[in-house]
Amino acid sequence: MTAPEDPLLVRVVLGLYPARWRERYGEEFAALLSDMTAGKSRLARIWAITDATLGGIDTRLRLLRGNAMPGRVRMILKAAIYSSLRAAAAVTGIGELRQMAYRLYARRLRREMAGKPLPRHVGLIMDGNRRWALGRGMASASLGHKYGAEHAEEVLSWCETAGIRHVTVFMCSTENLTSRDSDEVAFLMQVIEEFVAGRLTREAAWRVHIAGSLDVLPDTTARALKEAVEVSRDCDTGRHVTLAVGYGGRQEVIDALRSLLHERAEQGATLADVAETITTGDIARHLYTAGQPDPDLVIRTSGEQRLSNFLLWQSAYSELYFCEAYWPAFREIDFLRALRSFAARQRRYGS
Amino acid sequence: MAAGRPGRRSRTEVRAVTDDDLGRWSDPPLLVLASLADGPKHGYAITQDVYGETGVRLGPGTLYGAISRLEERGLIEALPPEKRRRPYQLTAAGEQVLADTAKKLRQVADLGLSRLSGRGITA
Repeated sequence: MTAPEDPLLVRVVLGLYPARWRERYGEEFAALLSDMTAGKSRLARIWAITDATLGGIDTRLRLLRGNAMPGRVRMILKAAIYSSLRAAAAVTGIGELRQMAYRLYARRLRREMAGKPLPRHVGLIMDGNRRWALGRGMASASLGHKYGAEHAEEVLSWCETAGIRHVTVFMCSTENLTSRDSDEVAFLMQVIEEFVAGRLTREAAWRVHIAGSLDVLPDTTARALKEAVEVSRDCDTGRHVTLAVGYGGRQEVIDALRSLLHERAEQGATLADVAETITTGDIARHLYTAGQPDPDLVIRTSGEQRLSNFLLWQSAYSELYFCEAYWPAFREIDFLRALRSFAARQRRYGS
Repeated sequence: MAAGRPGRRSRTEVRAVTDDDLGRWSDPPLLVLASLADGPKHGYAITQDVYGETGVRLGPGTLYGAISRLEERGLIEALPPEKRRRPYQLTAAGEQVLADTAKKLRQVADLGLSRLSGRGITA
């Protein structure tokens, strides 16, 4: 009905209209509201919102009672809505009004989600940190990583609120380590070290797991990651977060195979024996993510529509959700929409 | 000066009467019909056209209230959307209703103007 680029206020106002009406007129009405509010003065926006609000009430009343509200009632209501909006804007400022609208919209999304299927495991590809920083005119694109990591804490708390028990966050690929310049990699590693030593382990809401080869990481980073795993080992919230650092999906499959072959060799099996008996379960048992459910939903930000070697094996049946926003600008309502989209899909597991 | 004129209503009273009782003269559905008389337009173009021609600002809710009622009664019809903006055009019935209403309005306007000019007042 509304496009992602529609301002929040457009989506909130549209919510006042009956669902059937929104189906027919929602899209063009959203476009009109955008045209009439974008870049306009505060009073012009308040006037347009007032009129659109009144229109919503009018439409609902006409559906309920079969006729429009009397002119005088309409005038009084219009004056009341207009003055309240103006007063609210004067008291709190437009920014906070927007916040209120945002919370209202998030609440509506959560209500829509109630009782619907929830993914057990969500994979997050936090893409677009650098582009976000550049777009904001920051001195260095690397700074985006810092905001990106802070944002990851935020997103984890949304997962917690939503009741998701398994999350895997793609923080840094093996390719990132080799193809980015060394200053940026050093900064990214520092960001990751701070991330795992911060809120993540302090609040003890998540048990931490690592996916990736620690030996390609600087010592301090590898140590910080191991420490986070240790510290959170006794976490009994039932929530698991896997940090994919120095991670590559193909490498993971190779590592799993290697580990499986070593295991069977120790048991005295020949290569021919292994070739005869190997199953997908054998591989899964040796992946970095062994023991965890496969991700039901993978979300990638920044508009790129690729998996880029993320959970290559595990994502075979995952639902994919791509969001235009850069990772630091990925909002809770975007996250809730991803969950809503997941709930609406029919999962077939290849059948 | 105005205050000295006997029988003059206060400003607020006049405005109340205009909006309530004479409001039909700037009826949003009528304005939409008139705006579409020279060709199809989408919502925003209608508001711009009506404001430019009559000085009346149609808000989004008012406009779509009018559009949905006119469409229900078969006086206008929707064309395929261009990007997200959907143009509307008059139907034959819409043209008829607009012509009839405009004719009636003109009779009233002519009557008012001619009698006023009889008293030496020009509009």
